[in-house]
Amino acid sequence: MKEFVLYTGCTAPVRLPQYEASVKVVLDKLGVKIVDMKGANCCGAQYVESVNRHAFAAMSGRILALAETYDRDILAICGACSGSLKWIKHSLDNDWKLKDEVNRILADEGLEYTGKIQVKHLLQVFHEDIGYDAIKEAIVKPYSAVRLAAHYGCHVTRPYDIVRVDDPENPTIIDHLIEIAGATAVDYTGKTRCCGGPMLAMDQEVATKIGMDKIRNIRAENVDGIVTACVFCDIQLTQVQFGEGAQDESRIPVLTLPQFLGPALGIEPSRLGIGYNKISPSRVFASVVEV
Amino acid sequence: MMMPARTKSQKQATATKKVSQNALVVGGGVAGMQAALDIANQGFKVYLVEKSPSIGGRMAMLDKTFPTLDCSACILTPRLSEVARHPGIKLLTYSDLESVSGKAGSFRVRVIKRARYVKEELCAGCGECSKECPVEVPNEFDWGLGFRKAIYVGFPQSTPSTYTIDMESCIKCKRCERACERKAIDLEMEDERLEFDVGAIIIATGYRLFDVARYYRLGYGRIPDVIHAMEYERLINAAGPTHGHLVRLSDGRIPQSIGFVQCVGARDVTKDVPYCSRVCCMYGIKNAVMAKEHNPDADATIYYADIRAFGKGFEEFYEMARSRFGVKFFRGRAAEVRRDSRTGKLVVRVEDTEKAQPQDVEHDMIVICPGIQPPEDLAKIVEKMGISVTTDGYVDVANRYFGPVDTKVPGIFVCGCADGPKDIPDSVTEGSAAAMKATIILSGGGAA
Amino acid sequence: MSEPEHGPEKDVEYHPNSRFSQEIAAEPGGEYIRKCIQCGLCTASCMVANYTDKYRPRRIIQKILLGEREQVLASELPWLCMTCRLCEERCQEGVSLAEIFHVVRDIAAREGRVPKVFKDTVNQVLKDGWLLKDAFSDFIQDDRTDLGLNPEVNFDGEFVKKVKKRYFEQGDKEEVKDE
Repeated sequence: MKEFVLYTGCTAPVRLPQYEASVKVVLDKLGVKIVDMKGANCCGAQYVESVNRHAFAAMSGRILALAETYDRDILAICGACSGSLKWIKHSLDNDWKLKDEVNRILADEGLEYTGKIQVKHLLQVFHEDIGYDAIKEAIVKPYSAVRLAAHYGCHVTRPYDIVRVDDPENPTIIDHLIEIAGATAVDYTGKTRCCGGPMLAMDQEVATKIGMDKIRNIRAENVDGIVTACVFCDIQLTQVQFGEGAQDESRIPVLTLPQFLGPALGIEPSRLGIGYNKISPSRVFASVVEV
Repeated sequence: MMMPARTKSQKQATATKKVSQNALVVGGGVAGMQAALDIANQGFKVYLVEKSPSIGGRMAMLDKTFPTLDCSACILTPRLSEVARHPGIKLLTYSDLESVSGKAGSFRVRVIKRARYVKEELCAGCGECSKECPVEVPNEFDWGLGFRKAIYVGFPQSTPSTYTIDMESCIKCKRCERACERKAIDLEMEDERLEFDVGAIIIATGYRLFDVARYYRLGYGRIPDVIHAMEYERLINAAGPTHGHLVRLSDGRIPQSIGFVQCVGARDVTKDVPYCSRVCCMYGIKNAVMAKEHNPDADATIYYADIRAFGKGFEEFYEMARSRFGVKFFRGRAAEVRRDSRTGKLVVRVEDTEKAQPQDVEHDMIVICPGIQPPEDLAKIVEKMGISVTTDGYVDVANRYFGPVDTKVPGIFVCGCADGPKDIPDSVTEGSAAAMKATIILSGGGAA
Repeated sequence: MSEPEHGPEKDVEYHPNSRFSQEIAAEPGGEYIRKCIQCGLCTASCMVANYTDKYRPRRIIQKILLGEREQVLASELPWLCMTCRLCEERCQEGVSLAEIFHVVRDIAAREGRVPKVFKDTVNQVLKDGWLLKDAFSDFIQDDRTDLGLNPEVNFDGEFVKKVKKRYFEQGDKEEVKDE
């Protein structure tokens, strides 16, 4: 089956290791082989990206070139990373001067970007490489009577022309997977809005308001949990619920997509790091397994 | 340029050249009807082919026309009779163009006259059959908001008044057959193929609306009280499914606040429609004025980027809408429409660009004013004739300035919305222009 | 781009084809800025505009079109864009706002005008090669082991030194310079 080299980005290994773990366990179950990328660097999203276009190209460019040494497509599990890598790949493929410049700085290490590998976000791997049918067949313990809201993340789905993951105004991949696993995918106002994560740097208050806007809209639909596909979104949507605007009782569990799929595929929750989630998703799993 | 009077030898040449004295008009809307009448009034014969069961086109569906607020059906229906009565016009409704061959002066045309299962020469349009029919389906003429029977006329003034059986929905119970005193129903009827020669062809195929469901963020198709402009026309039309009562589709209540969204499916590079659709600003204003006419206490707001009021009387109409009728003009393109689950109100998310204030505005009903598009089968029709369409899908004209109704194929002309969005007066003007060009050929002056 | 010869106030050009808009349009991503018709669809879609009084993306574009170079580059507003790109997806004229703001940031950075938090974060990345080296404690290593992951994260710290040298240590591109 398909093999990928995993690019985790800076944040997942430290702040959301359960996401990294559950990705590996679930993809392994579904027949996708993952190798870790050794000696990677920050992709430059958001910060380097904003202060120097060329430095940004060099940083993401190096990751693309590293992947070529593995001769495998990149699997990016963080939205910001997948967005950066795809963006820079697009730039390098269309601007030979930039490509030359990046290759010059990579030359010392013997690295070169030729453009032969693709960058895929986790959602694409589920949708394109594994496919809904295969996932459906692998479900052994379907959920029942669980309502979930999907949060896709801005950098996962936009700009559509470059990332090509899902319909940017009406994404459905996560919702589809929720339904395949037997749960109910719930629509809500502002599904495609940002979680507010990128605003944390400049204005934490505004970032929290934006995140709480999302939580309020989701809460209005009476869901049991939120399913995410990006490191920052997951952290942000969890964090805002501990802030001033939130109430204790009605915190909605936030879990990453592979953590959601895992139990339905017959995987032990402990292997999915469920215990590391700040808001216990026990009520999500109640119909499937004891947590 | 002065053309000399036709000499005897020229007339003889016509006879020998065998220029057909017939013309074909494809499309029975207001432009096509104008063309047909103008050609027939000069003594030539016209075949008017229309794919739906009745002529009248889009104008028959409208309630009022801008900028005069004339009743559309009132000014149109005399035309329908005129066309139907004219000895020089052969009406071929419920018919499709099958093939065209030949050249200017002598085109060979094949038309399929689809079976209506009702004999045109016997049907008196009395409607007894329809009363007996047990099958009800959504009525296309009402854009699915109203119902018709399987044996039907789309609207009361359908021309010809012959009923049609929609075989897809018919259950062959034969109650209509039993009810018809004139024995006009023939369930065994077959499609008829007609072949004839024409000297000139005019394409007048009209338009369709941009599919606003493609704008997920505006909620059409998901939220019941978000409708589009044609659905709105049918609601405010006295002959429509609600007898002219402007009510919400969700609960039948009268909306106290209506929002009109402009530039949907027009001036949008993301949907491959970069061009301006010309008529939407004016019909949007007309719709808002009608909302106030129906309910003066109601609030009507138009969300726009620019108001294009370019024609005769248009600017005055815009001003009248604002000052006399109190229509609100909100400068800001509507970004999202959502339904507030608590209040049931529709909420428009928009920035008031005059105050730099993004805000939510509540309404009871949203009317999306879509741009207009070439009809779906236009590309197929033009392929049969060997003419081309532009990247926007409209018929390509020979010369924008001096041949605006000529296609690039001699003898084939275009009018109405088939070559681009335009309003009723401009469509009628083009109809006459195309008729003129056609008759130049028919009278033997050669392909102009 | 050379500095304007006159003082900032005298250099404002009140028409949409300002030199500043041309400067933006010349960079990748900024090409379609002059297509903007100020319709407000972007600002209506913007979550930051929704929750602040000062941030209006349409206004920033307007100021660029009007040539208010100094005002725009000195402002922190272009740094508030979250690059969520909802505005870009929806803009009917094809204006790529997030990309335009990236260009503005790039130009501002060249002139030494970067908000502190961005500066600090970039410096951190350029020092360690990745963002969270300081936060990567023993506890987290243990967690990783418990989860069946490699406790070492194996990020490379050498490459960023080259990046720093090449892009951040040339005259006024000095990142560590304080304003």
